[in-house]
Amino acid sequence: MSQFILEFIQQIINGLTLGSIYALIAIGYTMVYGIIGMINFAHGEIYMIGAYISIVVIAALAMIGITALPVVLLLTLLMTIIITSLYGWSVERIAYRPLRGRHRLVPLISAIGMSIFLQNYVQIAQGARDIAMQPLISGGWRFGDAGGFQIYVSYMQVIIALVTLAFMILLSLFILKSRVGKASRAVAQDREMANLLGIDTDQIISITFVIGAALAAVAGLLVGLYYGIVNAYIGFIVGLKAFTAAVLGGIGSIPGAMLGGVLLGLVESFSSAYLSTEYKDVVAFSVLILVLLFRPTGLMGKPEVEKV
Amino acid sequence: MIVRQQIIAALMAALVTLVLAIPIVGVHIISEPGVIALSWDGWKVMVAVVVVFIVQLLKSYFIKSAVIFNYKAKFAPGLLIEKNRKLIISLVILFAIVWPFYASRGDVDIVTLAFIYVMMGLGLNIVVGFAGLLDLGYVAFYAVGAYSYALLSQYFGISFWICLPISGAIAALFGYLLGFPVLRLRGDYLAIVTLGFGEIIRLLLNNMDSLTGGPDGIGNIAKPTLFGLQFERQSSDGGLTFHQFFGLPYSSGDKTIFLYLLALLLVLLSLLVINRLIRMPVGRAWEALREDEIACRSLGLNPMHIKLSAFTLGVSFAGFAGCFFAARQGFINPESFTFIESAIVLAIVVLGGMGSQLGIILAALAMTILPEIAREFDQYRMLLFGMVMVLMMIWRPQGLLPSQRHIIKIETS
Amino acid sequence: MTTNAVALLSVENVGMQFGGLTALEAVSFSLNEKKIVAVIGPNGAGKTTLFNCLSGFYQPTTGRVMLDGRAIDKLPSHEIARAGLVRTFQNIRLFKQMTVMENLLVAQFTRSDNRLWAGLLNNRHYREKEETVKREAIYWLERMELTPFANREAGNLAYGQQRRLEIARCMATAPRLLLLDEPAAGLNPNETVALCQLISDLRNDHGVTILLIEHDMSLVMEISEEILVLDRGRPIAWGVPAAIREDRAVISAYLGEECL
Ligand SMILES: Nc1ncnc2c1ncn2[C@@H]1O[C@H](COP(=O)(O)OP(=O)(O)OP(=O)(O)O)[C@@H](O)[C@H]1O
Ligand SMILES: [Mg+2]
Repeated sequence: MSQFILEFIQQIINGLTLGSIYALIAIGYTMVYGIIGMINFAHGEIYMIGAYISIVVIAALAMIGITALPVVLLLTLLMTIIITSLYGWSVERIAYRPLRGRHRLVPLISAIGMSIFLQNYVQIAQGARDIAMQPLISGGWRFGDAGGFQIYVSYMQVIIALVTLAFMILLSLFILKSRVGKASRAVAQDREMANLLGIDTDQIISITFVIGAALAAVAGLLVGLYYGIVNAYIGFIVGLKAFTAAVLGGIGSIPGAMLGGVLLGLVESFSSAYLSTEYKDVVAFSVLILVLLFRPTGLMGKPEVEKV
Repeated sequence: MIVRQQIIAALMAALVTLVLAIPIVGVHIISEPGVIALSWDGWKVMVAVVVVFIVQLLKSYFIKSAVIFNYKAKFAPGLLIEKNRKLIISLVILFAIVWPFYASRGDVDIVTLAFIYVMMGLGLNIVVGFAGLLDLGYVAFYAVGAYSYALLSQYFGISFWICLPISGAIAALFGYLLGFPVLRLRGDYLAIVTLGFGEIIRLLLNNMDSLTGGPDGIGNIAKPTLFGLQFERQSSDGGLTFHQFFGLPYSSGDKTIFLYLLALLLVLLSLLVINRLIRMPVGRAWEALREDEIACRSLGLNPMHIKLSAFTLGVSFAGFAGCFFAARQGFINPESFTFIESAIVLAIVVLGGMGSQLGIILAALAMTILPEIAREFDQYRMLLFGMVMVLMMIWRPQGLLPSQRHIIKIETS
Repeated sequence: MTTNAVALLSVENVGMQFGGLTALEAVSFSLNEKKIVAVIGPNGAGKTTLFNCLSGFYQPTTGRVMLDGRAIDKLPSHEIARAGLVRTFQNIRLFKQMTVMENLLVAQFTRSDNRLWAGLLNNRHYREKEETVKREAIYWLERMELTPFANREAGNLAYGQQRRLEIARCMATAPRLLLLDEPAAGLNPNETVALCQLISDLRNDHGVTILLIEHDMSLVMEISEEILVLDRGRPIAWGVPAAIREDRAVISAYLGEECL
């Protein structure tokens, strides 16, 4: 095989890894949007907090002498999900629930405030500098050879893809099969009607935030393990990109968010490889603007009808 | 029992706080090469838990007193100000003109900076407060204004006074070009698109090194002159300087005061223009559009035109502010134009009471001056901004000082 | 259904579908100048949908709408309004936080002097225009007995006053054709009688043509010269009130509802 093809495949692999992360976070945006029609601007910060918490848990486990890798991973996953979800739940309770039924921009501004708050809260508590962590899992496979170029797939990349896939399947099953999942679809379709039918809409909305935060926590953990570097500002850009992914896939649609995440990951990986790394963010945001302009319903979203 | 329920709720909140705070506030991550460890910092957690417990317990009382506060804010000073409006405004302006001659240079400098935010707040208020269009990329137009002046001055030697309107116009042009396609988007999408646009502009400024100097920015930007008189010790172009012309001893404070007065002039001009605008048909249309777009359409108002006029005019103020900023600093780089700037200006508009100009002036002054007075407060500044934005949305989405509607008086006999 | 060369409004075969739901089907009629015509039909018959199609808020899936010989069905709603077709809404849509006076001023936006510099400099042409616009607003305040409330926020008016203001706001645009969506809904009997008078006065004094949706049959029978009956999106009758009263199809459509 020629070097060009190998490089191309390498970019696909990198793009899928990145895309998995975006997809995990994008689901939080899309589910919240689907159910209460607001952009949860603070969701990127939840992801950032998830990354911090995962490092704290790993460090804590190391300090009490738990080092067996599978145990560490499992416990970290569990603890990170629990605590980060609680963050997601609290944010909704404090900053959004009192604003139900107000003009659209009111909860959005509140969410922006929450985002600024959380970013600075973590920055004040943990300092502004990067926190670096030794990789727990290193190594990978190499394939092919052309002109000295080899495809490299790290174990971490495979883990990211597999974990993401597993959570996507879990989520889909949950939405399709469980009572709560069905109720949440009902609430997303018509909140008032669902309320009349005796569904506790507040509870469903809380659960939605918890699920979104849990998936963001998984993303935070995976990023912490993969890049090993975390700071208080990672939530902003990644959050914006995950939102782009949600819009690309069609906001409100869960499969759309998955698809959008993967696509955006690919776009980014290809644009940094073949265009320039500096412009990869420009490309991502241009995608956002172009999609909103030319297909605001995204790839899989349903059009919103204006009622007169 | 209500009291018992409140205590239980407060305990629950305290418990949640405990769980939330331990991993972020309670432990500090020590990351040195090769090691990662935690240091325990428990007392902050305890403080947080106790505070949350008490606040939660007394929440209902807080809300009650907040309501009383609203009532007073709305009526008592309103009446007083209304009666002596002209007099009060003249006195305030007079004070603002005289003040820098008696204040310290540092203070004058800070207030000058605050004036830049006042101008941006007033401009963004047209977009957000009057027209109801949430623009999260306002800083992009500030950057456009600043770089317009910096580049025009550097490459073509054009003076500040000529660049000022040009910067505003270029910002307005950018606003028009962006607004034309995106303003038909629904409110929250618009917010995100403008945010994306703001980031794109910043990234472009950062990466188009040959034009903008990239991350290093542009330095040695010419300062404004008074009818051609410079405020330096020695004129750079061989002409007279301010102190030479007036036969004064050279004082570096002159420049500071001049910049201050210039900023004050720009603020007053902005106020004048905006006050005309909101009394004009287009101003009424902005408000109408914010309230009910469908009703507007049913009356023959083209929503696109009206939004576009608000957006274009609103961002032109950022252009003016940017031009002045570049001139004042003498140096700009993309660092000054991050999303946080947009957030600060938005916070000013929100705190000032969307639509209220007096509120915006006060909010802008408070936001820039407070962190300077209390340096240690600076670290907590953004934290508080964020918190206050949330609280404002919960308690008073229309802001601290509700907008004073200018009522068109007609005889009701 | 009469067709006439000088019809102000002519609706040809208009249909509207929402996904699988047919809300309107093959609606045709035409309306001459200075007529008062009512659209009636049971709930969900598609009356409001018809208004939305005429006023450009929905694009009809089939058919044509002509205003004064000009096709308007593809025009955006604000251009239709500028062409002289304005409407009220079933659930009143005022600018609630603006004053009554301002509501009437906004309605005249298209007739104001909108040049930026003219307004900023407050020049003579601008001032004259503003004066005219204000006079017109004051005229409608008087006409609709809203003068005492001119400086109130529109949202604080009583229900009947809000309805009147919405009509006043339409009239301030100097329309040729006025569509009223259930103008008597929520009014008490006295107010309904006054509304009846108002509608015919508007026609007589201002030459405006009126198409209204109404459930109050006594009002419909009294003021309308012709009536269009819709049922499940289809036009089932068109004629003078006396004929509609006797129409079998209409009676069976309304069967079970007290109306006649
Ligand atoms: N935007 C829309 N999307 C989907 N269905 C719609 C829409 N607008 C109206 N409909 C449907 O079209 C049908 C007709 O509605 P419409 O509002 O025109 O009835 P109406 O005759 O005005 O009734 P009412 O007397 O209750 O006002 C209804 O079944 C309604 O649900
Ligand atoms: Mg109806």
